[in-house]
Amino acid sequence: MDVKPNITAGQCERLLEPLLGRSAGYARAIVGNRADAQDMVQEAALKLWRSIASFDPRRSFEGWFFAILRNCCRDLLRRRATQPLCAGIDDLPEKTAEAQDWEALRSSLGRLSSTHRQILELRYFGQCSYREIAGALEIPEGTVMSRLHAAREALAAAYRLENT
Amino acid sequence: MKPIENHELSGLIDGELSPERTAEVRAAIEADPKLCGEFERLAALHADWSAAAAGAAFQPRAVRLPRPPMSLAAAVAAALAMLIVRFLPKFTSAAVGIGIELAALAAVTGLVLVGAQAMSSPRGFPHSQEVDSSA
Repeated sequence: MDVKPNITAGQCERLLEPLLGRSAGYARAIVGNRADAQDMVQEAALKLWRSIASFDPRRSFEGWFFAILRNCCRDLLRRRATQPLCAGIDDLPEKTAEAQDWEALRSSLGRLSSTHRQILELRYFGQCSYREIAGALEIPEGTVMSRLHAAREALAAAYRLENT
Repeated sequence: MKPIENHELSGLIDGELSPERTAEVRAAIEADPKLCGEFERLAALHADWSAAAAGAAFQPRAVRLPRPPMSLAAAVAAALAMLIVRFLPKFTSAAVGIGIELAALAAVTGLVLVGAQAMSSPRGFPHSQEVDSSA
């Protein structure tokens, strides 16, 4: 994505617009509920805008946004003095099958190391490409594939453990 | 051909291999039942997890970033122009009054356009809360 240092607020909003849906799902997977996820997306967008002059164009803009969003979510969890994957989940009177599915996935991710969890959250909840993941985690693009593969094997084992 | 590494199965599932490598890995999968089984296992897990994670996604409200306020000088100039439009024609002939009124309207329009441009510009925006860009 071509991001110029003299970008205007309107242009920045237009760059962020296509990222909002998947970033909301990503934030929700970390903070555990929709309302906080919504707030975190807004907060991350503001933080990104305030530091837009320092953006390194060699880095993925999307990855940078996800990195800022992750920090916002973790700060929120720290403020609550809770662990990222033990935070309250959506308080719905009746959980839909969809909600049960993503919460089960979130629960399995909670069994993994933070390295594996982070990359899988970006891939599945953030629907990030390898370039975006590399930008978010500040690792070489070539490392993403091997790390993601190892993380998948770890998640498969965690899934097996939970379902036996 | 370079031997197939296990993590390339992940790359294939994610569509992140080069076209040449995609063809090589696909050919290897077709030729090797064990590799084929491994690929199918991973692909099935990937499909399950993708479907599960999709349930968390939702469309949040649109992001609205702050714009710098219109400068004081522009605001004063706009107010003066409005006063001219309102009162000056009373003291002049009709033709001159209309001319002044049109000129003032043009000035106001120009100021509004300049103001709108200033509001969409990042210049003057308080970048006081720098974020950790290494996040």
